[in-house]
Amino acid sequence: MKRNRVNCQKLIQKGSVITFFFAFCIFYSCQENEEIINVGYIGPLTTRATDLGIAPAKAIELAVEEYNNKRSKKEPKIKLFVEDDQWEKNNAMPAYKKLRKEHQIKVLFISNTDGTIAISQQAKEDNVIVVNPCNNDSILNKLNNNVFKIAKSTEEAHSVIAHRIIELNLKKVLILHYPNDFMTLGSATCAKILTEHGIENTVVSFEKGKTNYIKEFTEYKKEGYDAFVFFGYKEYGFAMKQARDLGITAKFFGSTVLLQEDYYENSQGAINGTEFVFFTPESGNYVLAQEFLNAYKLKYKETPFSVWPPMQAYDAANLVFNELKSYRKTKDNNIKFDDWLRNRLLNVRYYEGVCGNISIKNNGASSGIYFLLFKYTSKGKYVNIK
Amino acid sequence: MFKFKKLKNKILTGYGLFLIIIVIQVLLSFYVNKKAEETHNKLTQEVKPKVNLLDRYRNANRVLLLLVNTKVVDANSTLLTNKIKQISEVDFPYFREELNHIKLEKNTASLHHQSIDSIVQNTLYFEQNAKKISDLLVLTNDYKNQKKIEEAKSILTKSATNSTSIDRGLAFLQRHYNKELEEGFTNLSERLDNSSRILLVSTLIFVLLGVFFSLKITYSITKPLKNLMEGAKGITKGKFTSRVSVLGKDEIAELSAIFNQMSISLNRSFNDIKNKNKELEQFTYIASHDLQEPLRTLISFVDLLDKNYNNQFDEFGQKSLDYIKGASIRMSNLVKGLLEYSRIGSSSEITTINCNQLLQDVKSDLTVAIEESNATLIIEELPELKGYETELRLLFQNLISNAIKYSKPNVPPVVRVFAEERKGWTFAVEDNGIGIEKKHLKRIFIIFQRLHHMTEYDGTGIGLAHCNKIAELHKGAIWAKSVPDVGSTFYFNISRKL
Repeated sequence: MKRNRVNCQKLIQKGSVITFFFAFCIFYSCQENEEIINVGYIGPLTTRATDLGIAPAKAIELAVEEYNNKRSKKEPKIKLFVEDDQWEKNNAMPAYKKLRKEHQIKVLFISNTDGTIAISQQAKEDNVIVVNPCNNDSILNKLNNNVFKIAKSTEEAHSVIAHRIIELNLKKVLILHYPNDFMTLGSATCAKILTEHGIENTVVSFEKGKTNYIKEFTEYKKEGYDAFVFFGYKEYGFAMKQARDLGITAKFFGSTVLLQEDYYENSQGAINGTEFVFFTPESGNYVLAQEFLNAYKLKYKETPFSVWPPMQAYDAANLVFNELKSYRKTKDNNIKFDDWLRNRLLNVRYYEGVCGNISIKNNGASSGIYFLLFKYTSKGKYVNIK
Repeated sequence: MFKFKKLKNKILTGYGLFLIIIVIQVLLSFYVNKKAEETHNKLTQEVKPKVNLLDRYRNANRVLLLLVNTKVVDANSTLLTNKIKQISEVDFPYFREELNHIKLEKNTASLHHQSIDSIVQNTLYFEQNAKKISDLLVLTNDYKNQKKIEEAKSILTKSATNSTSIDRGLAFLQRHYNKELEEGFTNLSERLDNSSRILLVSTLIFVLLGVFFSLKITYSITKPLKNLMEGAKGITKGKFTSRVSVLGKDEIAELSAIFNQMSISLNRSFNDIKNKNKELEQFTYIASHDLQEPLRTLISFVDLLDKNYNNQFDEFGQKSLDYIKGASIRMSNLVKGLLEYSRIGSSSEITTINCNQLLQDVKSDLTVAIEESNATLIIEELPELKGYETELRLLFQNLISNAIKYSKPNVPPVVRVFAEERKGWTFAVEDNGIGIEKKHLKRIFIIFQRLHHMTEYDGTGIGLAHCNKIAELHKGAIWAKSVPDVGSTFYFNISRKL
């Protein structure tokens, strides 16, 4: 009896010590180290096509901030590092290497198609997932399986111009394009559709930085084109102005980047009346898009001049971050980071983004972002045509 | 209850019990919450997404039918084309895939399998038909082509059939999952209600248990401490026979045992001291009593010598005889004083004393001294109390006679006796005499201590020692306050509990 009592006392005392010990262990085990995933962005922050670089960089930064603010402790923290490529493919690799060397980025967002091509192989070797939030086309689809394209389809967007030309019954068309993959592919798509519909068309390319097109347009005037398609950047503002000055009254068409401020300045208003493909909040998920634009305005005290690049970049970033959330929960230590993330992204079938509902196809390209036809009315202003 | 060898074991066990109760309560809460969470998760992560999916599926189906219908009749509809693409390329494939996942779930009924198969098949057809219409009507000119329009209308009719089948199938599934969701939430609500009740009751039980054990352990610590404290108080009051009960085997029990040993030891020492005191008093009594006899003989013979041989002594012999006589009388007085001192409290009994009457008797006894010195004795209203009457009378007599004796020359003494109640009674005898210097105030109560020479004031130096002993006999004390040349006040107190 007495022995039982003593045993009982000892049991209670030891029990309380063990309880303390376990409570301490559980508490200690809950204090996990914070996981940080570094992501990079390479885009044109200076020189050319800055509307495809500055606002998307800010949109991704906003997405990072929102993600980090909302994340739980079990979800990894994301840090963003930005590099400028001046819209030159030759700058892409040094920028990428810098991001890798200095920040060991695991995910890279890059706007430029040529730049994406330039770094894709190295990224694959480095187990880095690459996401192009601007373009989504057949050239990018040929790259390795680490490259994802969460954007509008280049071919689809430019086919809208071709269909508009056919609809307007224009018979002779000159397509001018900037010598990069995106514009070259857009021109080829447009030309192909026009040719299929029996419309005479010519495709010409001009070197970068050209500002004087008088000689060429004097010739084009003589050739009597019904329409000019400007698939290029701000330099084509000069071309538009010089064409109108030469008395050319033919219809003008443009690409997705017509809303660059320099474009308008260079054209000195000659750009007004140009029809182009574009994307607005109304084209996607209006409610989410407005929320994003309000948050953007609140953070940066400005509204992006051209809304689709930051909208697409915001969606691309959030779609990726949505998968990174489950990094701790779903990533096996034996699986490489890129294999894990690639698999997660390829299984995205329905992501409700600001541009609409997005799914990722097996080739890493997205579906769900579709551009419409607009007409430029005055500086920064446009109306939907179809 | 447990018996503890160490106090720390008792305290640790108390904490341990408390902790275990908390842990049990936390585990119980955790278990109850976990169960509720599981049900909630099942509903929100399994059933609710299905209901939402079916809702969105039905909406998309209706919207797509409306869009393709509009597309067939409206030439300016690029926006519609994009929306058709959105639904047929993104939304529908996703919904189909999700439905197939539902089909693969274990608990999906076979009847639902058929519905899902039908929905998926019709969705596929609908997607293809929507794409056909979009491809057929691209340009404005296409709407002028009657053949294309007829073909588009024909596809539209098929699409309407597909859409109706899809909607019917989805409505069937929706009804089932809505019901499951509703039942699930009712179940969850009941479970939460029950859990709250269980938690409330268990909390109450654990709180009561906690309070019971805490009180029990606290009581087991404080009870022996309280006993010990009572015992110590008894010792302080002189009850050397105080003992405390020894409970258990812990440190307090050990302390109690030591206390008891200490108490026994103290009692033994006290009894020894008491016996020694008695022996001493007896010795004093015997000594002083036996000394009286040779002194009386000495004084008698000195008287005889003085009476019978007075003329035969020369001047030196006569002077020597006077010194011998004086010294013998003083010695006799001293021995008498000692005898009285040793007798104080030895034979008296405690009685109820009317102090007013007592003081009247004292006044009567001192009539000669009062009249000779022309003194005024003021006796205020005094209490009735319990005490040793003879001793108390001696105390008052000594103090009043001192007050008269140590008066200022040519100043008639004024003596006031008064008392006040302060934890027993405190008496005061105030005079306007010569006063005492502050440095002597303690010395005066020591036996045979005198401040003045015999030639100034006669006395034995034993009166105030008597007073001190009498005050102590009454479990009190005596003290004095005095200002030289102004007067003195002698205070003494008498305890209520004798």
